[in-house]
Amino acid sequence: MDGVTLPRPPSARAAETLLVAFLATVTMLFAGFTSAYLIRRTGSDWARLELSPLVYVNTLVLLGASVTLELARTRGSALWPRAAALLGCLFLIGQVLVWRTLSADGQLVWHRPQGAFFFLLSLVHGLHLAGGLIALVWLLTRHARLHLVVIYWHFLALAWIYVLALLRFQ
Amino acid sequence: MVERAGTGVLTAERAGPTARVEEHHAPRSFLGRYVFSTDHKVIGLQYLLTAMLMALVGGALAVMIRYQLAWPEKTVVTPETYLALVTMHGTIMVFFVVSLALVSGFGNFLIPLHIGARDMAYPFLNMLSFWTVVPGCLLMLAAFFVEGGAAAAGWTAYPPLSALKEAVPGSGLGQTLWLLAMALFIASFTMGGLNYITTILNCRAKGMTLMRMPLTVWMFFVSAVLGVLAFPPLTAAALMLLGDRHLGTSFFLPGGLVFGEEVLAHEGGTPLLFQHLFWFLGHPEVYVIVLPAIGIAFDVIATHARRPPFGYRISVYATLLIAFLSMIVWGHHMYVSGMNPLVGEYFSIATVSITAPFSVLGINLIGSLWRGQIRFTTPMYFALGIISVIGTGGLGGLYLGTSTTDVYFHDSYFVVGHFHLMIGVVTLMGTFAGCYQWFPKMFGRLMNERLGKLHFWLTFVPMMAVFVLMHYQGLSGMLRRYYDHSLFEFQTAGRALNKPITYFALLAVGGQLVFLVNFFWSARRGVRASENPWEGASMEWNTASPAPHGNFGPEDPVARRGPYEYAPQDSHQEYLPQWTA
Repeated sequence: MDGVTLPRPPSARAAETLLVAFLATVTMLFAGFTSAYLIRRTGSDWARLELSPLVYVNTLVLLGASVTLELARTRGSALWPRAAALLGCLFLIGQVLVWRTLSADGQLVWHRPQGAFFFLLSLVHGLHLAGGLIALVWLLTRHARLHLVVIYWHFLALAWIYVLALLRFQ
Repeated sequence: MVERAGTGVLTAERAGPTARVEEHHAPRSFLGRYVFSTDHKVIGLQYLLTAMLMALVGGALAVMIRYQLAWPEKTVVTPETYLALVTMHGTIMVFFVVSLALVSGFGNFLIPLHIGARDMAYPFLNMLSFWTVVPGCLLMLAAFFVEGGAAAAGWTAYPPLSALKEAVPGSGLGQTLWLLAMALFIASFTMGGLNYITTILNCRAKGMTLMRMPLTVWMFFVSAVLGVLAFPPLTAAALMLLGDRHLGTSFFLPGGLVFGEEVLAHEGGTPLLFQHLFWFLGHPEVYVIVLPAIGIAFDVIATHARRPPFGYRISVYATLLIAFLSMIVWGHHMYVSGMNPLVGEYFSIATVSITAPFSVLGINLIGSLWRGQIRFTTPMYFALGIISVIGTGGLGGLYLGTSTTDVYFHDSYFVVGHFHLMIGVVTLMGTFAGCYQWFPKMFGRLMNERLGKLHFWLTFVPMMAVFVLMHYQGLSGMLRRYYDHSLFEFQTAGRALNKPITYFALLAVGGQLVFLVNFFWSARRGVRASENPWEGASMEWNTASPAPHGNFGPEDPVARRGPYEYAPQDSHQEYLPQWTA
């Protein structure tokens, strides 16, 4: 019980704490899915998932959004966040196209666990990205807390690469 | 210096925590003040009242369960309804009563007052969190009125009962509503937890170092961290369960399941996966709700024993260790699921090792009474009760945490008795201790002491009787979730205890009516309380009773010492408040 006094911290730090705690929650969500995936893939009906090349194009688009936002943070032009939002939309549309391709060649059907996992993981990731898009649009109107949105997008880019690596691990 | 609610007071900016303090008027409309309020104290009370309403339902279900067990020959309910009763009793009590009242209710009410903040870091998020759980409560209750009745797969919602819509009547719409209600609860609880963590780390008053926070706040912090980390895997499991139920996936359903004459199309899934994901939450959830009760016990005992808690720092470190261990012991709920005995051995060792830091908390609670000038007030009664129940309940945990003994006790009334003591009685007594202790800050009045003590004896004695006797039933081999034990010869030994347990249970439920009467009567007619009726030293007593909008006067409070400076050696004063120079 020493006599140290703390200054009242600025709000930016609170927002950072909130974001970090939220990312911890999302990480645990993906950890939950990971453990389920690792157990389920030992099932008798497991088969290889042939990912369509479009997935990798999407991944590049998402990484592009991340790079664009990094530019927005360092260069500070209003153009970069707009470009990132556009790339984010493209990524989501691309993911829907991947679902269509996978279901057209019979891989994404509910009774196939690998297809179900792909759908579930990309859906959960996509929903979080949609949240990121809303944050980005909000950012474009209010010009505040840029670095927090950037951190969130980087996190989602990493999360997607992780999901892809997990799905390739079969 | 302190202005009352409804008048203009200085308060932190509402949109987020800032260094800026601006003139802000408390909302004046009824909707703004009592319904869609962003004031943490109003939200805390909203949670508390919601939990009370849900407790009436949960309590009524308990009475029906006990009635059926005591007089099975009268068959008041069908076996299917009985399963729905135990399922809904468990779910409502764990999530919608104890978690809501203790963690969401008192967490909201106490954290900003204790750390000298004017509100939560994100008041709007706080309001959103409350209004997310309200539809959750309504959906959970709606399940009683749909075709097939409420969910009947246990509060653990194990597949296949929870995954196959046609398994039992409650597996249909009732189970779907259960899942949706739980999703809303988890969303609300996560928002609350994120807010707690942010508030405690960023909005403490000047001078309020982490080690100057009351233990209650520490416990709420650890509880929030556990909740935020442990709930997501259950969310993942719930999403997969919805897939199995409605889309035809097979995450949790194995091949070869036969329903009626028909072989189901599911293949390759494993119900055990769900159990792992469920208990990864389920075990930490125990600590999410038990730790705040222990924190409240520490604070109440310090105030009424007039001495600092024994081993403050050690208690903090022990709690952190408990939190870490609680996340790696979930397998002890599944010893009989056919797990590798080596894995069982690991879970046994990890589980039993929690005993060490947990005993530290228990011993520190007892040590906090040593040479204290004990004032036997109602909150103190409940805090002392908590020590006793933790001891009794914790002892049973040793047998259940060890795989060799658990194989015998699993799914018996020994388990039911044990977990009711720990997550039922301890948490309820923590909630009550909190109510009696901080009632002045809620309503500006004191609760009636005579009724309070009557309530204590009608809670402590009957509840201990009910759950300790259940241990004996478990020892005799009586299993849980059976609606009529007389049908099975091997379960007859403990049956004689069913009627006495039911009588005690009715007494315990009746005792809670005393509390309700006291609560609502005292809120309007109780003796008016001064700012600091208990002569407490921590920050929440540095404001009017009831605490006004914005919590503290125009000047920000400053913490100049720890929260427990009772009987200080270098002063003639009986206690030194945290806020005085």
